[in-house]
Amino acid sequence: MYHYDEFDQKLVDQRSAEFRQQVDRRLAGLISEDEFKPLRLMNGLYLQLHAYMLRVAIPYGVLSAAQLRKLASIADRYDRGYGHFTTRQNIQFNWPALVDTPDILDELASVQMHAIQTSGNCIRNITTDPFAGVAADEEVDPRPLAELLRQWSTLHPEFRYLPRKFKFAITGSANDRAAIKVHDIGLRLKRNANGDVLVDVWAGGGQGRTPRIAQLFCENLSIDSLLPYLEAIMRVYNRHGRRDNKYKARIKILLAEVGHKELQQEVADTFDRIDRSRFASVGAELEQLTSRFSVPAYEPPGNAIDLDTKRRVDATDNNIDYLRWQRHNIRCHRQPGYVIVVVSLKPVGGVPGDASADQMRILADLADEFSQGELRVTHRQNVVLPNVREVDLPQLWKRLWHAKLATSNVDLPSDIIACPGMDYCALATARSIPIAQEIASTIRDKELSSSPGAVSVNVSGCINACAHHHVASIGILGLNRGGIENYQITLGGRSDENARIGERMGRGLLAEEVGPAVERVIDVYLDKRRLDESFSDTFQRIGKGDFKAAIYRNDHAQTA
Amino acid sequence: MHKLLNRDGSMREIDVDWLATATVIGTDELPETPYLHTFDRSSTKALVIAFDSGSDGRGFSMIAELRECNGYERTVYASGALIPDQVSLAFQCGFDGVIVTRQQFDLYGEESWRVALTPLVNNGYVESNWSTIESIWTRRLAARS
Repeated sequence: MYHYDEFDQKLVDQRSAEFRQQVDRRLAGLISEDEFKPLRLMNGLYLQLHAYMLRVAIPYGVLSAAQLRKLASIADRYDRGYGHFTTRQNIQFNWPALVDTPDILDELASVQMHAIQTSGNCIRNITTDPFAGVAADEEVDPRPLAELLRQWSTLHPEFRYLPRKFKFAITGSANDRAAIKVHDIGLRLKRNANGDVLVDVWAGGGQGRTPRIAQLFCENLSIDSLLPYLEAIMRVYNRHGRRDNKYKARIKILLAEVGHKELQQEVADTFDRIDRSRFASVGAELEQLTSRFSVPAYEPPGNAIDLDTKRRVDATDNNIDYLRWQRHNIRCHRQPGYVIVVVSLKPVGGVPGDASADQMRILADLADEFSQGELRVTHRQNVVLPNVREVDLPQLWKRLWHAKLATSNVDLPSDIIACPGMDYCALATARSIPIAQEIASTIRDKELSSSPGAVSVNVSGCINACAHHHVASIGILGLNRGGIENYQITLGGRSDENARIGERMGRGLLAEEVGPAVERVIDVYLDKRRLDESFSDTFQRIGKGDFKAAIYRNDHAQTA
Repeated sequence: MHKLLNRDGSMREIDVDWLATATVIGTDELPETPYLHTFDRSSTKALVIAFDSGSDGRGFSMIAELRECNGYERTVYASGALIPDQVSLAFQCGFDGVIVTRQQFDLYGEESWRVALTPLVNNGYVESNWSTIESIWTRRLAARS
């Protein structure tokens, strides 16, 4: 993984010192909350419903064991002993005191972390495939480019006061696990016949109150041209994006108002006029970055298994919980003899994405012991151990089991994305965490007995769609209707390479109706699906009729 | 009197009436591309880009476009609703100076504006043709060679 050099470290240290000065001025009453607000937001510090919330950047979701231990220590010392992993592969602390935040930033800087640009109208944390660099189906490792974009976007003077926040995602695989088509800019890396890396640039995707799938802006762009092209998009957006209404300020709205071809042409014209000499060092920089993400020292397959390991494998051979976990939480690795392990942070009854400080420390220890000291955070709010020897799986599972981290539900219906909702968020109009907990409890037995294919259930507590409900197989949006929480259901969304916005089914449901309705929707899917068919494929094939009837079954019963 | 903060870190007073002699383009009056059509390039008048609000970053892209794409080399000032934290951004994007009204100056205090001229965090990674400090990528390249 990438490690800071003296330049990176100095920037983060200086930024931390600058924020300390700003907090001191605020605490001394020299600046008002209104004046302090843009300064704190640029350092990831929100004022939420009950307290400040600090969002810490985890660039493209990659964490070292040492960094995770530091996050655990911060959770214990400055928060309430836990952290919340987010859909942008970051982590949030929900209860820090303002006076402590400069110390937290210093502690983060000591392990090469920060909170820069995790909020505000600027380029946010670059996200990518959580299996980057290890996925069996990967064409190009996106991490070096993700790091290059992290550096390019960090404190870029031209793009610090955009019309609205701006999100990038990158994938280097045909199977998009980074949801690039629902980002402001999505990049798909691939190789031509000569092995050169090329980029397809998608723009104008997004969720929130106006969900849109991104449009293709440029196909087969060379790596040399990428940063000038991205600057052209950003410059056109910065100049022309709407500033009169924050709900219409994202690039997706500019695209809709100007038109795809017209905006594409304006970007192309701007691109032609950009001074390429400013990017002269980029090629060398990317080369250096690529060398930092070199292939780890994998053991040759077959050499690794010994008698002791064999005994451990045998001991778990007939354990149903182990076999279930192995089936659902393991993904193919590019290196024979190795696997990718997804650790679910979605125990039934738990808060999706939350990890206690103790669990973080255990995960850090397991990463050191089994995964070459590295972890990843997924946009589905889980944690990945990316480099695990296949023969170590039984032992790893036992350790996870004892730490209550062996829930076998990755990509199953109970692997729910939920935003903090009205329990924490000042913007929320309804609770989302209790709804997610109720759904998980309702459907867990069914998913264990019926082995559904990929079904995503996402619960957002307001129209801002932080839980990505628009692109879930089953999306749930919490609203407030006359003081009563009301939940709309959308079906058939997906965020992969065939990204699609889900269809709204009808009137909203009361909180207590949501879990049973979701269960009935899954019943329809299980009844109608073809072999290995995902929920979204089944939905697209048979249409919404049966699903809608299942959701509103009680309406018909009452009418009859 | 207004205050003029210069790229070289100096600060001086300028007459309020001086602005009336300049060509002022507002960030809220967004002209069509290329917007240099909207004023006479041969004019000897100073050019001022007036920021509409503290959250309005259009002026940073306007000056970048002027300098980088249109090759405009004459003096350009920023004015309007800039806050101290934006002064170094203005210089990095190509402005020669920032004009601050007396009211703005007093609102944030002289110390804030002086700090703004020599901020703790000055440059990011990307090279700017207008910054007096080299970018991290440029310094890194030099260190490697």
